[in-house]
Amino acid sequence: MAQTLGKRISDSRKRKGFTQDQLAEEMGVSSQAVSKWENDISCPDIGLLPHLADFFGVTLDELMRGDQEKVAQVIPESERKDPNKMIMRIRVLSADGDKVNVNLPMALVKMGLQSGMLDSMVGGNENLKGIDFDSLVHMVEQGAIGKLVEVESADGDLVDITIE
Amino acid sequence: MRVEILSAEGKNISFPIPEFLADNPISLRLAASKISEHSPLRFTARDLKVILHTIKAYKRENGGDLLLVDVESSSGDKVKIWI
Repeated sequence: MAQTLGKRISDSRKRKGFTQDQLAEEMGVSSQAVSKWENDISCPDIGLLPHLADFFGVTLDELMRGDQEKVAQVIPESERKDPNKMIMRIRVLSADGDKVNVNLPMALVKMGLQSGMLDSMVGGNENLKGIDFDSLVHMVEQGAIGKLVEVESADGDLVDITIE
Repeated sequence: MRVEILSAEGKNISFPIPEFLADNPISLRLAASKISEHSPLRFTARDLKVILHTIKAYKRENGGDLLLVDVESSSGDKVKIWI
């Protein structure tokens, strides 16, 4: 199912670590209005869209079309979310048509790295073996989010890793 | 925890597993043994307990169910595991 504008607003707000009340205050609307946007009951006024896009650090096109998760970006320290509350989305599309999506809380990825269990978690997939998860976690701790890895193997398998 | 299996032929199975059933030594040992038997992954019951508790802590802080695994085979079969 395609992601709605409301879902994108909700995800972007949570990614920035803001409450609905705080976003409402920033946009000069009521928190009920933000709630209605996020539940797709109503849409933001057209004049507010550029402010929303600027506030979330995405282009208007990304806000409307929902491509922001593909953009890797570094969030300023003051706006960063706790990395332990973030999620690592690993997507593998094999050349023969199998699709695997794994959503791992960052806390779990870090725990897996520290205990050596991450090899067991991803060891079953050849495409993930060469990925340096230590460096990925370090990048996330430095504020990197979005699609940080995109690999196409010689066999035609596609792997991407997105941090949200 | 909820496991959903949607077959390409339209046979759908969804079964909830209560947390107290998933998070006990017998279930964890059984799960670790089945994972080792059917996949290249190697976990001990203790590993699975730590993983389960880390995910539960994430859920407590973030609310809502987490779609941990979502697999779709080329033949159209789908498996989803919600925690």
